[in-house]
Amino acid sequence: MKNKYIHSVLPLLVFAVFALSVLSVLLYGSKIYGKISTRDDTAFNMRTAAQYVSTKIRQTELQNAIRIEDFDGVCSIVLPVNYGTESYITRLYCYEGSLYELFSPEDVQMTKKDGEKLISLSRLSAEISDGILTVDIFADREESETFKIYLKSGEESYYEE
Amino acid sequence: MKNKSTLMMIEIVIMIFVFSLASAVCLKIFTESNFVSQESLILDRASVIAQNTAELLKASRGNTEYVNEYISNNLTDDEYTVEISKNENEQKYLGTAKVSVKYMDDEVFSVTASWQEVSDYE
Repeated sequence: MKNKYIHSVLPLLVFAVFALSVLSVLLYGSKIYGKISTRDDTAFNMRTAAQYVSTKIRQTELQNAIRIEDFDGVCSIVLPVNYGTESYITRLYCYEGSLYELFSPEDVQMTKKDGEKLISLSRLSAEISDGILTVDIFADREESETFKIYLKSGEESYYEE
Repeated sequence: MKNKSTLMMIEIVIMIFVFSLASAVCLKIFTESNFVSQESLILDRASVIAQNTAELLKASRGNTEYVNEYISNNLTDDEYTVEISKNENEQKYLGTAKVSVKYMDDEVFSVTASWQEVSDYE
């Protein structure tokens, strides 16, 4: 009787072990996949945003000195550009979890909502000191990256001979 | 009855054996992909540090003391170190230096920075 009982329960036990193993491998795999996916997404957003902002700055800074301004309560990088006699500005700022760009004539009043959404980014802050523009960008999970750009057209360099 | 359960047992054991092989391969791949992703993150971070160092070198026209001090004061991750080695240059007004970024003492990224040796206004 006992032998019969063992013979019927043992396969079930082994099957339970098998099911548990499948579940644990699946859980481990999904955890790793989630981790990699989130990490890569964050890195992609940060890298793209950083490259976009720095390329924009380099394109513009040879024409006019760039400046940092408060725009409806958020920090914005202002890139002025002249077309003939007209003055225009491109603003780069973060609004509702995204990096925005807004191109407009300099003397026209615009709001944060008027810009074009570019990429997911929670916050952007910038400052110019000693001719170096320092930009801090923050991703969704409060991961941040700081990059510096030497402004050839900016303020006087710290270096005095 | 006994024969039936023995057969079932053999089936399950074979199933577990095949599954173990497959899961071993999967786990190895998961771990490796995690490692590769981590490495790419390190490379990303190192490239930003190297780029920032190169910008500071340009701004200070190759003042390595200033740049080293600035970097050591502002580098938030202790695992990363920056080494700047100035190159002997044949061109009189052009300075260059190799910026190497190390992670845990292993060089992960390097870039050559160039700057104008004289003032813009000379």
